[in-house]
Amino acid sequence: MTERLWRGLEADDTDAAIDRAVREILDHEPAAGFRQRVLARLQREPNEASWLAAWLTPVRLTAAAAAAGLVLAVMLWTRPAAPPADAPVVAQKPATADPLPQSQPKSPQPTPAANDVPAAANRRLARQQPPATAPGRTSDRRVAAASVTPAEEAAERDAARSVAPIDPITIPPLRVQPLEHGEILIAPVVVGPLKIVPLPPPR
Amino acid sequence: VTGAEPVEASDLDLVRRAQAGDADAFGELVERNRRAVFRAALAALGSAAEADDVAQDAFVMAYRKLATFRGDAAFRTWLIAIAWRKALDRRKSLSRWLRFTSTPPEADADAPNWIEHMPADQRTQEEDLAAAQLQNKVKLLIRTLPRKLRDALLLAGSGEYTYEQISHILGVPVGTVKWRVSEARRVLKQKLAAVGHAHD
Repeated sequence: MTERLWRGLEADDTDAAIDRAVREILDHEPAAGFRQRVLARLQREPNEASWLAAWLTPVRLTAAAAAAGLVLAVMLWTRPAAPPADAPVVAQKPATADPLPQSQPKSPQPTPAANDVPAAANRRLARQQPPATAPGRTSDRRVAAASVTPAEEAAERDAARSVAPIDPITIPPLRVQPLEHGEILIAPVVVGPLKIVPLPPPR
Repeated sequence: VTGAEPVEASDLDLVRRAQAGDADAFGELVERNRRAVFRAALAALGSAAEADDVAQDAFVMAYRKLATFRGDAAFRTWLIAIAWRKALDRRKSLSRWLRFTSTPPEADADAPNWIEHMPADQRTQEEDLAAAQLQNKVKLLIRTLPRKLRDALLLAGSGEYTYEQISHILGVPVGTVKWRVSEARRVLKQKLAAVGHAHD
């Protein structure tokens, strides 16, 4: 029945149906006020490139660079000196633990800043750090810095300035000499005659 | 030329004035070309709201790039090419496009029933209903066409653009555009025949 009806639509051939379908799909108009919206957007959204070019004058560039430098300086000034607990351990470890003559200390050398910190301050900072922290990690540094008050930090900085710089510990290379041993002499075991002494009579 | 009818400025004249900073001239260009730009976006996106948005974007971008327009091609062609690229970018990022291109539901699966139950004296109405049913089926099938065929068919069928303009918009030779339109029609007819409608 349906096919019969469709076949009856001779005037509406398939091409015409396709044309009408396409027109129906595209049978929409831009919303009202399109021109005003476009012009409003042009006023509201200036060209980003020209805005950036206008903003980046030499004076502003210089000011921005100076501000960035100032921020960097403040960050470096307020940063904790170094992971303090590491310095003594690293310096002493090779002298006792590493017997090989050609081996160098595996941990990095203590920094001058670490050497400048007095030992008392090192011990105090080490106590304030949680025992499980791994030195050198950013988050751990944040925790260590937060645990020292600014007054304590300033006092430690003053104390560090008053102490004469400590020379870095130099460790001469260890030399292992071959073990020398003489000839081993085995003396013969001499067994003397046994003497049997009679026990005294019981009282 | 006192007393003569005011001659409508050409697109190129308006472009020159807009390049010199005349906002009204650009407004006139928007007014003249908004429909063509909108329909190109609509052909790509299938959503009037998205097409409106993309058409606005296209005009804003065209205004910012107006200094680069040299008049080698018609302003409208240049403008629609911008709109088409923007519409394709949007189409890639829209998940609704997946719904638009997904297999259409068999909305008229039970159509033979209601047609067969119609009274015999309503033959004209039956025919109208059959024509409407065919129309809906074609619309659904158009959405299932491969993108390249569908784009060419919709742009050509909109009546807004010449084959040369479509060739410029799609970036393919005119012969390819014509082949794609013809192929789209052939595929549609094949699909219609597969669902039981054939005039051949």
